[in-house]
Amino acid sequence: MKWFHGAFARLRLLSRRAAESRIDREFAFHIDMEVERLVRDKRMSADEARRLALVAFGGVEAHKEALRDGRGLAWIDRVSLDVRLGTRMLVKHPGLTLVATFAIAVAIAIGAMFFEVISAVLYSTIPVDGGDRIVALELASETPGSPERRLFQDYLSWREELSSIADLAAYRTVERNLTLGDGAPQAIRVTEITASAFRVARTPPLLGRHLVADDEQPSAPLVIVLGHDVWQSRFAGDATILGRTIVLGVTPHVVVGVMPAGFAFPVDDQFWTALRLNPSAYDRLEGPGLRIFGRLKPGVTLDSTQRELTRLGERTAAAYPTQYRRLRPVVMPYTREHFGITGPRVWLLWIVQLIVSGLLVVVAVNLAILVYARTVARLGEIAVRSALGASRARILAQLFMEALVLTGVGTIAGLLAASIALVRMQSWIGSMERMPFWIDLRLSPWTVLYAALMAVVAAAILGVVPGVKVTGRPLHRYLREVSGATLGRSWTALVVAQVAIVVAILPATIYVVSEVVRLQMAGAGFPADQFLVAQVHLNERQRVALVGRLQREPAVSAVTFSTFIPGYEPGRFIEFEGAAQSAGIVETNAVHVDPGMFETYEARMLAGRGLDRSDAGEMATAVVVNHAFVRRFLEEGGALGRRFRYTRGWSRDDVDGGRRYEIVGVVSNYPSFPPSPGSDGQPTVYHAASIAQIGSGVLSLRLRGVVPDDFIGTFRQIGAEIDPALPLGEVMPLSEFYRENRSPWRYVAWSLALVTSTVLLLSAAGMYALMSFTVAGRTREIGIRTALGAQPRQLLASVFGRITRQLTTGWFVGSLLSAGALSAAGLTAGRAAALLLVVGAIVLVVGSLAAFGPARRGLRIQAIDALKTD
Amino acid sequence: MAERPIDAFRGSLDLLVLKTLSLSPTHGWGISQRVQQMSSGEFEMNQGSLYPALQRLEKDGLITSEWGVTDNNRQARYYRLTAAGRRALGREVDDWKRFAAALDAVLRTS
Repeated sequence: MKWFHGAFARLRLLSRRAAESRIDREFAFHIDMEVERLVRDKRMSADEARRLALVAFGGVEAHKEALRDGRGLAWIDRVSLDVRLGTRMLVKHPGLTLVATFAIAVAIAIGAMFFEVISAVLYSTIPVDGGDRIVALELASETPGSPERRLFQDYLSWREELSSIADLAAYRTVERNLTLGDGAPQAIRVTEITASAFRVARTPPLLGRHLVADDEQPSAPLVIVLGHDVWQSRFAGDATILGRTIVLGVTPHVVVGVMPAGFAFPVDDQFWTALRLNPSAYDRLEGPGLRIFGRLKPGVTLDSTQRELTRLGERTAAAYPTQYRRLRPVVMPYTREHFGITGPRVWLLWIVQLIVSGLLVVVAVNLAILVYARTVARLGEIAVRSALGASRARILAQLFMEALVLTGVGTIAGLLAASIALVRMQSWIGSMERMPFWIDLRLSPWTVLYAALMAVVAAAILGVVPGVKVTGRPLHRYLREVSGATLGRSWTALVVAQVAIVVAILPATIYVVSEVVRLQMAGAGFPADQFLVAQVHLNERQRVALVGRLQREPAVSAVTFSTFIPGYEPGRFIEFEGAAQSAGIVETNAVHVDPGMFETYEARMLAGRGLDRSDAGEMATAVVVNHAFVRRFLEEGGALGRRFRYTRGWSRDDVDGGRRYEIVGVVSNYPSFPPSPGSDGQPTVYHAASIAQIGSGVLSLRLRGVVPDDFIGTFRQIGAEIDPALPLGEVMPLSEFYRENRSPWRYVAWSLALVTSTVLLLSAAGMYALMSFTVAGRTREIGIRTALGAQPRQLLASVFGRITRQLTTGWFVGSLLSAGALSAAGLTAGRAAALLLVVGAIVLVVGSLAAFGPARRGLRIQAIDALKTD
Repeated sequence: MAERPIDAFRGSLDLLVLKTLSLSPTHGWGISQRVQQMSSGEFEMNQGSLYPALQRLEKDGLITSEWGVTDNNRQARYYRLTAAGRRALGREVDDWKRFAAALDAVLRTS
């Protein structure tokens, strides 16, 4: 019971008002009783009795203070006072407050966004029962990020033999045309999935049922399960949807179930049909690409599952050594498999986060310079507090709290900005790619905690570091000089560092921004707005019919095919033969194209010949490369006749049976704009292919003018007339495709420009503070020299001479740092020097503008006023 | 000349308070008067220093307090001993007796 009485007493002391009231009443009672006794027993007058009673009691305020200290809550009063002081400082120095709040808000916003995205990518779990127990399995190859997907036979054997996984499932995503009533077919994404997937997901349907094992049988009726979103948007939430027939391609499917809102397993899917694959139709590593996942059994760990899987993999490799020589089965958390984040890439992400967090440190160091100047100006006040008994720790605590108020305001602003930006980012990504349904880019409590921690770190840099420097000297000297001290070498070093940081990062920013502008402004080299591109998966009959029909369309001037959209071909690895062999393995883009494609896209032959139909044979070895390929890997005029082979990744393993390909022509770059900032073009190899050989690929239509808005509908209608099941994927004008895919660079440029502007603003504020401080500190000297006849301009020259030397030193140091970075980016010495001169001019302009105010004040100092200055 | 009263030793203040309250609950002024009476005027404590000791003892759970009304109809805060306080008093008294005996033995040594 002792603890109970004690706890109850402490609880009552928490209320400051109640505790103060009790003290006042008890003391008043005590003194009144003593007065009564003295009047009664000693026959004193009331006044005399009260005086003696107070003497006997002792100092009332001292006892009250002892009671307040005894409550153990004095720190709350101190913190409250410091916060009020900090808020007052914000209002008193609006310039510093605005600059600091903006800079901290930018740094916190960027850091919080990165943290939220990285956390979502690495640590999100599927929002289903036991979602953290769901794992993905794949066959990893030697090329990171390129696993083997033809897993059907492996899926069957793992399903039989893996004891660590309760339910194993497989799925693939296909494009189908959905026809509703008499409407035009609409391309949709359908997930063909095993029934076991719904056991893994453990989510009951909203209506009807899941897929079941019987649905996978070849003779079973074709059924489909719908997602909640499409049930609402395409079927108006029809309560009688179950049993309704919908047509995918030409095949009717019966709706048997609707899943609840928020369910989009396995990625962001809304249509599920049974995966029907014939085991006897495929050999090892044959068949369609599949993704495998499952649920770990209770008590089983990821490590033990990996060990079991490795043993199975070794047995399979022993039985099929040729096929499985460089493949190994791996298991990983399901969410990480989707993004391909495994092993060292996890650490890489956190290193990126560390660098981004370092931005706040840079900002805080810059702000510390401003705060230092302000703290030095308060030396007199600090000295008085120290003389009154405040310890150094108490003074530093106050400075820390003042800084924390400042960083707190900036952090709140930064988090608000981050939350808005994250919502926009999620919406933008969702429009470009498949956004996994388990990713929710809203500010999480962990992100807020991260921001709060960064605010504390920034406050420590802003408040404590200058405070330690200022209070590290004997303070009694400043009791006489309230206006503060001179500045030492550390101040000089800070200013030089600040200018150096600006000079170090500004050239890189200017370079990236200018390259992005060049990228955005650069044309494709052909009228991209006259082209329509469509992802197609056609058999030969469909291709022939579609091409013929389109060529008869009056608006269409040309039709051509390729495996990928021009400018966005995938990378492959090649090794040259002969003299160029010392260059080793290099990476280039590679694509199969219809021989007529160069003409359709107005690509010019620069050397040799183009591709023709004879180059499209199975054993053909003739290829054409683009100008960027020659510039990157070969000498001008030395491309024709060069031979190379493809390799598997960075290993020297043959691909295509080690076939050697010969360069027979060089074509101009198309598109002509660079694929990324700083690039002069993407090396590309072109192989000829007939329309019959290009199965899944890109159909390019060139129209006689700009693509009309309604042409996409016309195009789909044409496809449906040929074959209602004709799978037509994404269809859009090529100009729109290029604009969407180049937009990320715009955001990069904007972000860089924002960060650099922030640092530049901080530097300007720092220089302003420095010059103001210098003028204030030398007011008396300036006044005396003016009285003795010195010219104002001479005075300012002597005052600012030191500052100019600091700026120059900072520019020099920053230039050295920047030169290294620009050289690594591939800039020539001439361009780098020009950039540095531009940056020097910017720093000079900023410094001059920052000096304008203090200089004007300096010129207006009156001698008589200056002599009064202490 | 009357002998100057002895200031209550700071270390024994808690013991005096616990002993006083063991007789009956009372308020702070009552404690100071009772100590003076029981010591026949030898102990004259700095009255205000009593209250931090009362707060400390209450936080430790050895005493508890509540508002009450005095005989002359005044609001006063009455303190009383808790069970833990009684046990603590016993221990403090034993410790004091051992201390006093040891000190006495030292002082009697010639």
